[in-house]
Amino acid sequence: MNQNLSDDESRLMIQNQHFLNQNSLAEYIECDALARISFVNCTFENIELGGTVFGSCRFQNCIFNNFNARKAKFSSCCFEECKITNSDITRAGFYETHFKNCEFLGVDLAASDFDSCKFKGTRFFKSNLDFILVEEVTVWKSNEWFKIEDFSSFKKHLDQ
Amino acid sequence: MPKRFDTNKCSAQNFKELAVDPRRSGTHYTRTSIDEARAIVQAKLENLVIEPTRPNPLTSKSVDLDYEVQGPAPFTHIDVKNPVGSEILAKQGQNITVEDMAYKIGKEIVNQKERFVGLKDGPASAENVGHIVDLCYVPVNEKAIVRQNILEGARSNKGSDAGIIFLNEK
Repeated sequence: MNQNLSDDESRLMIQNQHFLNQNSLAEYIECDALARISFVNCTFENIELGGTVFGSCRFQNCIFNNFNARKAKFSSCCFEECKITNSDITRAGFYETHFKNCEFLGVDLAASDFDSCKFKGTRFFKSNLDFILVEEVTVWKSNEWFKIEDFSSFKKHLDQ
Repeated sequence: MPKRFDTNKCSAQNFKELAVDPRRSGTHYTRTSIDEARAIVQAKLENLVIEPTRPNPLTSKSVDLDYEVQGPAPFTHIDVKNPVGSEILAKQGQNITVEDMAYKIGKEIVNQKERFVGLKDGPASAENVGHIVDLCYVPVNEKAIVRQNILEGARSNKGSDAGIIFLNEK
């Protein structure tokens, strides 16, 4: 297993791993949460983590395919250079979560909440954003941060 | 025995029907959907809701609320929330106080009441959506704090804390 502690002793770093079902992640889940873990160059495929909390996790250069995180909560997380495809992330909550250079393709995000999130270089393709709620969201565009006031401006900034 | 496990008056079959994840094909249970069933069964046994059922898969794809109910008026739909206490928040790596968590839940509840209004088979108005907040995962010394902040969060968002039912407050 390619893992070590980074940043501080409480943060676990997992690199170059392929998680092919939720059982492969079970050892890292405590209190229904993946907490304070950095995933680098990892693949998550056919994973069902509905209702799970992702607390203070970092995902760098990761691939998510057929990833079910319905009603999951992403709190103080960071996604960088990640690709999320063909996934169900409906009714999820994203709080103080940052996305940098990420792609969503064929992802159902319906009725999810984005609160105090930041998006930089992140794009959505063929994804369902119906009924999402955005609050205190900022998007990096043209070398400055834009504060998003409502859903329509969120789509305007991201769907280009 | 905690009230939420007192399901003697609920048949196993009924519990299974209420615990199934309505958006999945076949019979599929998740920890979340089972938690929702425990809460709705307790609410039913305490006469807080009438005849709860899961929405059919087609409806739940658009009107994504946890249960349909036959009342009491004005409720036609119910959604379940399961807040946690500060110890669990810390273990989960969430950098948020229990007060802020509860306040945000209160705001979310108000938004969710309005989210699916007017859709086919959806609530006719926001007041038709009730929210059950099950405090079973909140320690005794934090239950009042969570309750108060949820109500304050709801009032801060459109000014109303109506339609919020708390379970396991003691």
